[in-house]
Amino acid sequence: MIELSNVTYKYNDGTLALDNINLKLTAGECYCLTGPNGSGKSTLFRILNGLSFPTKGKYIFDGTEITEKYLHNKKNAVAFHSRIGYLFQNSETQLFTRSVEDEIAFGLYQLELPEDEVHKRTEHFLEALSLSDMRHRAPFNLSGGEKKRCALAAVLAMEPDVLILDEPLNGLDEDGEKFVLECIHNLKSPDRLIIVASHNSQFVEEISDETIRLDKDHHISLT
Amino acid sequence: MTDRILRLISGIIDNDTRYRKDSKVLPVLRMLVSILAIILCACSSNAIFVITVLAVELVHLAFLPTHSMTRVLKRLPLPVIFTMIIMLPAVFLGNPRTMLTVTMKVLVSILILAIMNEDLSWKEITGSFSQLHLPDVFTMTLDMTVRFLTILSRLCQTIHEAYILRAVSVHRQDKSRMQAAGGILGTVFLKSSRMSEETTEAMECRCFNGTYRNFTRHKLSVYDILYACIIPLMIVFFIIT
Repeated sequence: MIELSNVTYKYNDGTLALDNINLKLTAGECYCLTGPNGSGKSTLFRILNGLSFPTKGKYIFDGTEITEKYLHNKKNAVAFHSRIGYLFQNSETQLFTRSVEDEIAFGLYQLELPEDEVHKRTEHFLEALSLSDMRHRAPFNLSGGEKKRCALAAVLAMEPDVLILDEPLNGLDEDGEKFVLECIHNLKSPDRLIIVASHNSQFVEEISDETIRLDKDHHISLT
Repeated sequence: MTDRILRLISGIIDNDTRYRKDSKVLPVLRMLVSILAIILCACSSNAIFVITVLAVELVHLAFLPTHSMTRVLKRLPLPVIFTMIIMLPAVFLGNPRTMLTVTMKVLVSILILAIMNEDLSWKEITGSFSQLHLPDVFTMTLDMTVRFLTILSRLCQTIHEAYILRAVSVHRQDKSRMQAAGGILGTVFLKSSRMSEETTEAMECRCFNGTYRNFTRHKLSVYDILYACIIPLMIVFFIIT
């Protein structure tokens, strides 16, 4: 489903973030990305989401090479982004509408789904992530755990084939962590690829089918 | 002082959702009736129309919950007193009726807006803009502005508190404390720049194509039809009076 071939990424000032990464990720699996701070996990996620592009190498998503030129086309960009759901490490920046229900419905309106379908999915995910009581509240006034759930609901509502979660347990209490863990277990399916970045070894052990390790030298290894 | 400003700004969006239920009447209709009432009151040369509208709004106010009523009534005195002071010269020039008429019009306008604010949430008000064919980008900019004002104000406050806790050697009265304001504002500016980039990326990840719509469960009902009848009735009454 996802293939990275000799991918290298350097920042504008020449700092190396990823070095000659070769990776093949298949649907139906849950991969955990681990590594020390500054090893390039977030950069890798940005490349997978089409927010950054490799300095060298190729990123192939379902047989199509994802380049800046490719995503410059609006139709291609919508088709690509609708299949990949990305939960940012900091949920605050991902929540930008005026209420929780608007947040969940936002992506669905962009996909130009019928009104009935938008309503159905919004109600479903409000219920599934226990957000019904706070449907009218402004996302930026929610607590950390509530923001995480809201962001997750907004991403899941678009029913992506690939789910990328950047440190989903960040800022959560024990109950919040259990909730996210249960969510991820329920999301696993033969058609879906899940990639999670986490420092929590227990969490990694519980949910991952394979672990991808990025080391300090920005190289990758699979275990 | 910062706390009060923060509460005001974040309250614009959050607006006491504990007490609020979804509006029974279509929000855009509710807004149109209110705006029309304000315009007709302003254009009215006859006090009867203004007094009638005032009476109707006072009856409406009487049906609001106590906490809403208190909030509405708290907003009235200042603009009314200010208007009376501004219009005081009219009394000395031998035209006291002008002062009373203008003051009453201001009172009615503020009352209508305050009650509309209690009936409709910020979400419903801004959601109505798209139904009034205002560009989506206008509503989105409005919401984003309020959101960023709240978030950045909180950040500014946190940085300021951190500075106060660390500036132990600096005397309270020392002017150099104010010099920290430049640094704080600079940090907030850089942070806001970063946040806006991240927000853009987040919107891109959710396939943003320019649409910014309001999610609503409202379906047209008898209440909407009855409420819509107020518009022609109000216009006819205005013409008659």
